[in-house]
Amino acid sequence: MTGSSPTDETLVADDRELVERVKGGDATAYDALVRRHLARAMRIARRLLGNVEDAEDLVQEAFMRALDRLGSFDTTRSFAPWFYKLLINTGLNARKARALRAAEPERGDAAWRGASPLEQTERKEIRERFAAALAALPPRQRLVVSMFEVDGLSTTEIAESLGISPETVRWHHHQARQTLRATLAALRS
Amino acid sequence: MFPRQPTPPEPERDRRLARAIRESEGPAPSAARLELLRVRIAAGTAAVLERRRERTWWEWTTHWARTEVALAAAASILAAVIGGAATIGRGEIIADTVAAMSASVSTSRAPVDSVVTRALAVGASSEQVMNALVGPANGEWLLGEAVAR
Repeated sequence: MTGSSPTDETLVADDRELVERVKGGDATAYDALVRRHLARAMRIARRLLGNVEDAEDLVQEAFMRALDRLGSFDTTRSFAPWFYKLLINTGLNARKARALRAAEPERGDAAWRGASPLEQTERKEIRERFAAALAALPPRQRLVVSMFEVDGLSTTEIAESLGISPETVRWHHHQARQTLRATLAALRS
Repeated sequence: MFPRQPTPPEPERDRRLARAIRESEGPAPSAARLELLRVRIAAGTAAVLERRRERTWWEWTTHWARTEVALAAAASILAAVIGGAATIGRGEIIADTVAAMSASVSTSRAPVDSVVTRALAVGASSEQVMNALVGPANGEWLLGEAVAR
């Protein structure tokens, strides 16, 4: 995921074991936890805040807060949903509290480099219209569908992260998916 | 009571939808960028854990300092009480000793005086008086005394 390679020990250890070690003051164990959750945390943060710089600040702040609160964390529970809940709540507060930098137009143009100018224009239009449909979703639906489809979290993990029931997550996911599938079908036809 | 509903299975993941969402969100931050962020977090982590270690040491010290102060105060009081008692005791012992010695001196003078007085009255020599009081100069006085009796 990142440049340097973690030790075998930290790769093998599960989140719970790492958390226990961090509680004992082991900084490398926390580094292993960070490596494990950094990319996903960045995606969620960027989805919440709309740009990479704010997302990086948010992720750093969330990891620092998590470290601060790890002493009271119940290790019988899973670390990931607990951490993502902290991240999301911090992100929602940050969004309210400060004026965000304008979202930069970062797009995956590399994937389209082999296409003709006409195809590139068409795909760009499709992408923008899909992005508009995604942005038009209620915030919670947008977050649920992205966390499920892109980040690969389970409905239970998303429920824990957002502090709602798994049934509500499923309902939001279903609604969002219906809307986005309809948009995609319309765009492709 | 209603029977508990079984948990419904997870919805199928839609790869096309996932790809479309990813593309609309833009490319993921580069590995180098993530590594820089990780290093920032690692530096913060080290600082926090170091502060926590210092705080733990200090809190431990201050926590035990209270107990130590209480123990020291208790020990001082105890020492004062025991020391006082010992001083008082010592004073009493000294006083008792002095009194006893005075008494023994005052009571033992009479027998000595009476022995000396009587010896002098019967015309005994000073050697005889000394022999009667502390024993004869040679070591056979005890045998002599025993045979005499």
